[in-house]
Amino acid sequence: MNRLALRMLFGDQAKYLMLVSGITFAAILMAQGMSLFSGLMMWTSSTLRNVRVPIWVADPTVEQVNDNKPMRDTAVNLVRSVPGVAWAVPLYQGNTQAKLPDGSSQLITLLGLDPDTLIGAPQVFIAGDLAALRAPDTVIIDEYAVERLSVGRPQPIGVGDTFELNDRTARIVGICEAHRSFSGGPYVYTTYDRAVSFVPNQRKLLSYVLAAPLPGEDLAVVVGRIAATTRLAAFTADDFMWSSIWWYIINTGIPINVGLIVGIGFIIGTAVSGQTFYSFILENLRNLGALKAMGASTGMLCRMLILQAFSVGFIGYGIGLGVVSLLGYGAIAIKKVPFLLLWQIPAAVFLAVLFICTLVSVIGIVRVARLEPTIVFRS
Amino acid sequence: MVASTHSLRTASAGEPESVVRLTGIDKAFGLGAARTPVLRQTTFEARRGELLMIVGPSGCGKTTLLSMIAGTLAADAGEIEVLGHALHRLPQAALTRFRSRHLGFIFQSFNLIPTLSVAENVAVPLLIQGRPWREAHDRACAILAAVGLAGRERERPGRLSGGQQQRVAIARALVHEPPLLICDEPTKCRGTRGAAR
Repeated sequence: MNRLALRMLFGDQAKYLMLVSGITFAAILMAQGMSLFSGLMMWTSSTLRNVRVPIWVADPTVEQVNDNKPMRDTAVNLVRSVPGVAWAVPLYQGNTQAKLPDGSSQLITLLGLDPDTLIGAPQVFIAGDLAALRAPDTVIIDEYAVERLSVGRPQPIGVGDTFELNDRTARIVGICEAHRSFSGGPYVYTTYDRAVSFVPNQRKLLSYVLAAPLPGEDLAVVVGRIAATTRLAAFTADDFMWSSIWWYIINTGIPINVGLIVGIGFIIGTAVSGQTFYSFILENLRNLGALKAMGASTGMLCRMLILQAFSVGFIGYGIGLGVVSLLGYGAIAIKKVPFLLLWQIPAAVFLAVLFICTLVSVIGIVRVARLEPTIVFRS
Repeated sequence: MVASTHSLRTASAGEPESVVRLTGIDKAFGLGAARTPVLRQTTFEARRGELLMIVGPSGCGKTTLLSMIAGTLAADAGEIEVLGHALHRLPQAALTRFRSRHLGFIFQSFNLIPTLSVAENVAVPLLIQGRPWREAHDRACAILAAVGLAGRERERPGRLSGGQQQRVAIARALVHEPPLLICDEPTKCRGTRGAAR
């Protein structure tokens, strides 16, 4: 009877397509919404992934990595003095404007690294090299900066080219790979002392102190010790990432907006599938009655309905996730749309689709359980 | 209103066994003032080999009577015995089993499933019994050939004429070789000669 159930379902092509479309649409909206949210949340902590160090020390009021509250330069030595700290170096992070040849300006995220160690420097270079950063007025830009800073130029900006940062000339000596920032500005790396000379003069400019524990020291213990000794905020990179993500979840409308997309997808999927499946059952009521009259038990008919509902659900889910994956490949290729398809997202969407299928099955089962086989004797 | 019955006893030796026996059947529909009695103290018996026709005007209770013989409708009072089974005493699950094994149906409006092929429609009673797909399909094709529909197995019922659809319904009723056939207006789409046959 399973084969019969599927033949009955696939035979009604209009209803079948409508059912699959409903689930597909719901799966796309839910998975795309959640992937967009995950991608955005990852963008909020891009600096942490571009500057890979184990310990971040910041002003005590800092809650997330894009929140710059400058400290005195002496904070670096304070951290170095904490027992268990192997090294500590300064990091400048700030948003500033790069002047383009056509007179317009482009927002960039400027990172100033410790000039001696260059700790936190990019790992993967497309052109140029890190050592060249020791020369005067030099910077390293990320791939996205090539696109953004090439506006108004006859050909894409590259190694050896220059651009203006606050009326000072910056010479490009390298192009690297970097994760996109939440602010939308490309990353520009330079040394700490050069970074503070590129930006307007302020009393305090130190954004973070980057540190690492001595070998054998427990990371969490050292972080706690830094916080207690210096009265600054100290985080492990992982904790700082989650702190940043939670800050955006709590303090921005992103979760509500994305939640609405996911919720609407779920409601549309449930409504369209439920309504279409109910209509499919109503249209087949006499046929189901005939099967019941010929000796099909209510249980047998219910199993047929469950098979039909879940077949549609799994097909719709597969197509939906396939479409989202393709969209994801596109988003990753153009690097302009946040997208992160964590394994939890397909799992969550699968559970949602299971719920829709169960609901739809229950609607059908209630109708079939009440079906009187004698209906078929009425003309 | 009570259905009137006529019986045409075929020649047979001795007293054949009773296949259908209804005793003192009452059935009414509706509640309170709207309650309409359809069958009142209806009693009749059909024996093996007997051709029994229930005739009467529209709404007189023929279909109600058939539904009760088929075990799809319970009587308000009286006893229904079909093929030795006291249907009025059987629980729902046993009634369902009884129908799948002992009864063949030709419904007034055929009730062929439009999204299935002709052969699949005919195979339904065998599939309900749990027979394998291949066996059910082969037997369906064989009986379709017997009713003159060879070569139409893969078509949808909607592409057949009324008479052909009726033959499909007949094939479906006979495919599992039931001892009792229940036919509701079985010659509706047959010509006079076909009906007589």
